[in-house]
Amino acid sequence: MKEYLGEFEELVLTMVGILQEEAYGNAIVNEIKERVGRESNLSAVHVTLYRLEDKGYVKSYMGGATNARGGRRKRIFQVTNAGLAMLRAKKEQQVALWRLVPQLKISGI
Amino acid sequence: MIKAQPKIIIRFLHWFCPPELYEGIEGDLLEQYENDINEWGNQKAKRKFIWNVLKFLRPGIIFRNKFSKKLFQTYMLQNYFKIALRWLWRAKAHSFINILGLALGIACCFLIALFVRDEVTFDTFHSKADRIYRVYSHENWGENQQFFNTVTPFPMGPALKDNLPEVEKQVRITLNNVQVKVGAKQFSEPMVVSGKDFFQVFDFKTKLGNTHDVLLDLGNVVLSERVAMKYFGDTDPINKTISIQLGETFEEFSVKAITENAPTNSSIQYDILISELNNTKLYGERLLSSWFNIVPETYVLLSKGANAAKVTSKFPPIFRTAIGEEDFAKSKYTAGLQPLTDIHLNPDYPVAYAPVSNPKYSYILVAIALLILIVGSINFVTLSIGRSLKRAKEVGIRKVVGALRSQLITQFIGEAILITLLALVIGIGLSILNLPLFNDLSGKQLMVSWDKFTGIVLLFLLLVIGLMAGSYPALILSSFQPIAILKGSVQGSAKQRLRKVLVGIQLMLSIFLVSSTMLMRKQLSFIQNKNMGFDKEQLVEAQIIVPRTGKLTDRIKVAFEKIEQFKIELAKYPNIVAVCGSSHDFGNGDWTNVGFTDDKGAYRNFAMNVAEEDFIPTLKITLAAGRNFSKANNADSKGGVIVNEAFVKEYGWKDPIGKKIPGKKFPDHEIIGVVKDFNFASLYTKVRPLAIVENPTIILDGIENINIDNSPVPKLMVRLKSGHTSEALERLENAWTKIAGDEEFTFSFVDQAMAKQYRSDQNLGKMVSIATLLAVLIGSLGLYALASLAMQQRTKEISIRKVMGANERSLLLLLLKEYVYLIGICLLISVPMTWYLVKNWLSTFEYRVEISFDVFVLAGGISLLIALSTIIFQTLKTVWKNPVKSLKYE
Repeated sequence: MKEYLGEFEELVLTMVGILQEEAYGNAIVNEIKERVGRESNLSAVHVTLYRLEDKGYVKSYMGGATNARGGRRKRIFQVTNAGLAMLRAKKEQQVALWRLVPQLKISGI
Repeated sequence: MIKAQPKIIIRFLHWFCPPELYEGIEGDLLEQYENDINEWGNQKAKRKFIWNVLKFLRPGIIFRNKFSKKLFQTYMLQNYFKIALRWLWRAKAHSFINILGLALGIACCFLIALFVRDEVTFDTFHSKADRIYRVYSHENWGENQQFFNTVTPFPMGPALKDNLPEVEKQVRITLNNVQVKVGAKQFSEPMVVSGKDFFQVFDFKTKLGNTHDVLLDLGNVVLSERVAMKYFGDTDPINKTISIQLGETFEEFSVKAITENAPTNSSIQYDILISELNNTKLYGERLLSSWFNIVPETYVLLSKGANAAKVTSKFPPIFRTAIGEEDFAKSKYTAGLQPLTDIHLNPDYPVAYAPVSNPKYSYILVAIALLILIVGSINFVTLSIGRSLKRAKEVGIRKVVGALRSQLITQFIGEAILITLLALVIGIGLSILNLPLFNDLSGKQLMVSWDKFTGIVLLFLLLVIGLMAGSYPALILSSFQPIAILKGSVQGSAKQRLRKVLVGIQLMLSIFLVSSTMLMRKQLSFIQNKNMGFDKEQLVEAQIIVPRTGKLTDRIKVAFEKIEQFKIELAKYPNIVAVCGSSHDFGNGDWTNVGFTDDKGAYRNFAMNVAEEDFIPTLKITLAAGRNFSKANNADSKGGVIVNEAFVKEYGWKDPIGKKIPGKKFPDHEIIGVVKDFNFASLYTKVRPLAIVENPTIILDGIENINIDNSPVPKLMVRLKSGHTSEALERLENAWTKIAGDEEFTFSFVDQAMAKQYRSDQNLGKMVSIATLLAVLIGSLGLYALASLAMQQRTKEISIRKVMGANERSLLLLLLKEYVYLIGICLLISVPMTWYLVKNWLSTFEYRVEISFDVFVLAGGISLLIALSTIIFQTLKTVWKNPVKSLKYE
């Protein structure tokens, strides 16, 4: 069966790819705000991450404990090969589609 | 540094959050909290924290890894759905029979549900319905003189209200037929007269104008939308004037309000409503204050929390004062309260103005609908089991690749529900299409409304039928052992017995329905054709209109004078065979009933009618002894009495001619003739003793009680020449215009008016016929399909028998034998059932047919014929097959 990736899913997946070792819920929320200027909800990000995990695009492990956050460990997410392939496919698809859009041409001055 | 984050909200998070996610989420939340404290300060951060935690309260978190994946196995559901559709499609004939049977059952159930809902919700639309009661009275004057009535004396309402604080309001309602003049047009209409609190007690919706104080003024009238439309069309009716005949004159009334037509499930129906201040013009002073003349229905509104039984217990002292000690003791006067919502379906109380229906009809209809549904569901079950061998392989494979039994059961029940859903859609379509027909038969104006009730009924039908029809096949199918299936050694034989039982039930129901229908038809045609003792064909009756003035006897006299004019006018035309006048006609309510104490002290009842010499010849009533009234004999019109045979029998007379009615107070009179009993009421009751007089005072002066159900103002009765009905009617109408002027000419044919009395039973008969047709159709379709399956399974056996030398006849006998046994057993069971139920129904008729056994033989024969013809067709198809074809694959 074909898998689909929603817009927000794609965004979160990309952020996980960007943040690498530091990809956990809060960091992703902040990263989204910083990079795209979009306010996102912590719980929405979490749910999306778990859904991506179900689909096999990310995997997660618990990071080391720190003094901050009341000593709670972080759940760090990592893009899997399938996730990477999916991102790549998405990108290529978009580029391919973008090429089909007639570009503004300056001609006949 | 974390500052005192709210503990309780953390605990809440801990409670709903799956443990494996908890740490990561809590950490993220706390981190955010720290940031927020730096950015927004403590208070706001705390609020944001709580809000953030609450946002995690979402299915994606709460149900994660709990059962979300297990519960919604959409992959399998999609597969089930696809397989179900494939099976439906592959066996088109079976699917068609299944769905059609269920759809017809559902359509019947749905219609009946609408009907029953209408019946049980009668009068519940009033917001104070639970506090409104109707007063009934009970008098006991000794043997044969108990009077139980739901109409009450006029002073009842005020007496209760004035003496009891619990009685908040009282409303009296009377119903009169009146002449109404609007402009130049004149109509004859029923009119309700009621008290000022009518609209405070009952909730009838106002359309135009104001109903609040409308009944405080005697010159106001409230119209229903229906008559307002009829009188004024689209023009604004408010403040228009109409004239209504009260007493001898027409009074002017000003239209002050228009209300929506009373709902069909309302006991109180009105088109014209005026204030009871007008009662003085309709009734005498004595009647309005008498405790022993009963006219209005009295409704009381009790205060909140009042207990009806407690209120009733306070009645006796009130009556003792109001009636007087002596009469109170003699009459043993009591009264009680009947809840408004109880009126419509309680036949134990006598009927007043509000129509009462027998709950028995509801029960019968519900039973019929369920029968059809059962027959349809049985088709489903037997066909599913019949096809189970074909599906066994699917089950085997599913089990081998790991399906659990519970999954298979879900699959098959789901399939049943899917099929039921299809049937439901078709069934609702069918019921909407047939709603007009059903309304016609049930005498209601039902409509399908998409409200909560409909939703619940449909959901209920869906689940009940789905489970009822689906669970057994599901259990059977899912129990197959995969090894046995795949080896090909599963036999359907164990389920044969159950299938036979189910088919048997179907047959039994068919025989039951067929024989009931035949018996009902027999009785109904008996009613139609029963000799009533007079000739009801080609006989027309019309109410003579006279001013409502003076004494009843004077009004009767005036009407007879008018009838004499008709006789003279109509005598010219050969198409009019005979004309007469009579106080009472047929099919329009009971004849006046009177009671007196005879010379031996026994209380006696009889019916009376005022007529003249042409009555007996016009109606073709036979004289048994004596003679008819005669114009030549003056004494007849003063003191002549003609009685019927039942009257003679009541007093045990040998030679009635010349006798007198044995009461002390009757004026001088003589019985001059005896007529053979003719049925002036309906066939539900026995012919009662009847006295016919020309001069009503002979009877009226000697009696103690009178019960007038239908106005005794004479009716014109005209016998038309058969074959010339329309010309004769035209003549009659011309004569009417000449003599009665602009009064509306309304007439009815006696045979039709009499048939109307049996309408509810006629309609019941029609409904049972339709139900029978449907049930037999569905049942035989099912049997047909089942026989074809059974034959397919036995093809090999039959082929071998044929090869071994069996001939067609012996094969046919072999295959049919078991069905013949089955039908025989079913017949045995259904006969007593039918006998009991039909006898019960017949007992409501005083004149009825006997239940004869030839009906059962015929019904059994028909069922046998239908069953066998479907089976024989299938059997022959198998028997005629070339055995080589079915055996060569071995």
